[in-house]
Amino acid sequence: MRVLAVLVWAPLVLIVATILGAVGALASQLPLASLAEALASDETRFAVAMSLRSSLTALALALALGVPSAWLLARRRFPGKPVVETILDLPMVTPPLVAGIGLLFLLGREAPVGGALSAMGLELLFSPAGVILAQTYIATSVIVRSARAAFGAVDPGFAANAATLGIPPFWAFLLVEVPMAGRALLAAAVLGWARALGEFGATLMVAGATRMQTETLPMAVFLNIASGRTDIAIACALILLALAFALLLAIRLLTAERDDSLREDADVRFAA
Amino acid sequence: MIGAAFRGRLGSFDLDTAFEVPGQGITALFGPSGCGKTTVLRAIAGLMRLPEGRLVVNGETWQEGRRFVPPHRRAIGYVFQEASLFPHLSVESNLRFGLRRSRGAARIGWDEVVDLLGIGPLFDRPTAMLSGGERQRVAIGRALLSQPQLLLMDEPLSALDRFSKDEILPYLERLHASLSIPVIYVSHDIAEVERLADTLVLMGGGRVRAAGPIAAMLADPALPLIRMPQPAAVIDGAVVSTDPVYGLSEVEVPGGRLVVPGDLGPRGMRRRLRIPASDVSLGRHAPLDTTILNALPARIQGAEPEPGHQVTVRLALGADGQGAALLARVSRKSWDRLNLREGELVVARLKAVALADPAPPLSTRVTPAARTATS
Repeated sequence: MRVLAVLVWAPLVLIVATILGAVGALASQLPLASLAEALASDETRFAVAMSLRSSLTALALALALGVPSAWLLARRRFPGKPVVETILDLPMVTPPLVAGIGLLFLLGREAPVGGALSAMGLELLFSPAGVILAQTYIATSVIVRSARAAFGAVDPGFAANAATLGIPPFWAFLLVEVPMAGRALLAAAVLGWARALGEFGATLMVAGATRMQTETLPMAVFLNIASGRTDIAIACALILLALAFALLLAIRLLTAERDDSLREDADVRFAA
Repeated sequence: MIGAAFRGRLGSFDLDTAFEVPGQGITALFGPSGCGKTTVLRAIAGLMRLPEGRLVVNGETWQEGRRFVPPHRRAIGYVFQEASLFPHLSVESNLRFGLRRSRGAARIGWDEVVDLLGIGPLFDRPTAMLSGGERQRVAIGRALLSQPQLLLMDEPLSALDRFSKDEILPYLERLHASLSIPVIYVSHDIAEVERLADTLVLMGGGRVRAAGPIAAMLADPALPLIRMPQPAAVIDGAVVSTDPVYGLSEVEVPGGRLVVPGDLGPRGMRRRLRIPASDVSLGRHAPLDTTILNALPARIQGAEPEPGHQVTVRLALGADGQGAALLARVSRKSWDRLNLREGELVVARLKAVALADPAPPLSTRVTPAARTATS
């Protein structure tokens, strides 16, 4: 029993200690006064505003695209569905940098798509719009996957039931299926938002790293580490960490019920 | 009138059903599990589209050829086997959900439904805190509030324990007595069918074996119902008088009057009686000294030999043999000794006559609003 305890607890302690060590090291790099100064600097404030604005816009777009798609995948069968599902998962496993290059070539002025958009006056590349594009691209994939699981957990019988009560399919989706998948959908949204906030690789390729223009928080860390302004880099990194912590905690609380059931199962198994 | 015909293959299951039943009262779709009852009900609701189908409900065509009215445009109420109340809504909100279709012009009123099903006290409870019977009552209420012209019930009692079934059956009877909406009721429990149904559609292996009024179907020699281990006749009648001294009621049925224990309600009230074949014996003369209260003339319509040296005798009450159908299960020896024949007049002695619905007469509580709804 004691051997087992050591075997399971020691790795956990090691992992947590490493994470805390890295965060602590980051936080203790700067004296408190200079940290406060860096946090209040124009560049940090710009990066925070840029990150929040772009990630929330990206989240809205990703939800608008991802939730209906997820419902379709959870409820309908159609030819080639496994292939479509695999394609949808692709952005989650390819390095964002690679995704970014792909988008760059797709939307470049010489490319047909980019050229057409450019002719319409839409300049996505190397602009704040490009930031949103890159973040949406990454977040959508996450949201489709989690929202699909959320809808999958709702018995389709409830929508049928709503139909027998005279509710048209669209309203059944809105009034029954979405609220019933509610917590899981919210968790999916938070996860998507977290991915959008932390997005770096694809943004770098599509929007570029231009100070005070396409400078999101991760971009600010990258730019300022490169240029030696460690204080701003650290300030932005800490803000990102705090946001990530808050979002992860929110997801944990949203999916708390499922965790409880897991824990009870585990207790039973240990007791047996 | 409800006319339904559906044909199609579902995997390896071949469905080919057609029946026509009255556009009022309770019609039971009865048959063993897996005979296609639920499929037919889902097809009537439009939740499933069979390639070949025709459905006309009281003059409205819901399916024919390429015409297919989607489920949300059919004026149906559907009560599922397990009450699927929306878990994210309270009891009251679930009921309000049913009202959405009515757009204010409610034929079946809120108070009436709440009163009919006794669900007022449940309003504030989360759906997860309701018992099975309570959930089903709320589900029925929600279906009714959606102002259906046809109520579909898919074994609404099968997921309930004995206690909850007994709790809910009186409500279904009350519903039957006070609302004029036709009901199609899927069941594989003959006791439920005997108690509730006016019309029976007998199904087996994806086909309709027969359809008709319940009393005639139960006594039909061509159907397997008469060969069930415990066959019974159901007879609908009207209360004539009650005798408080002896605690008995007299009920007028086609072809005679029956004395039934208990106060069965005011004069004129319709009650359904159930008479098991094993509780009926036959004689050539009226009994002289006997404790049996009911001895009525009846004509023998036929006899079906049963395994175990028994005979199920089909009778019609009244000397003219025009009255209600009755069944008697007697030993082959008695049958031969009395030398009984088809067409002969006998005296049927009924050891026991019981209400098919042993519950108190709930249907006396018909509200004025309900009467308006039925008229």
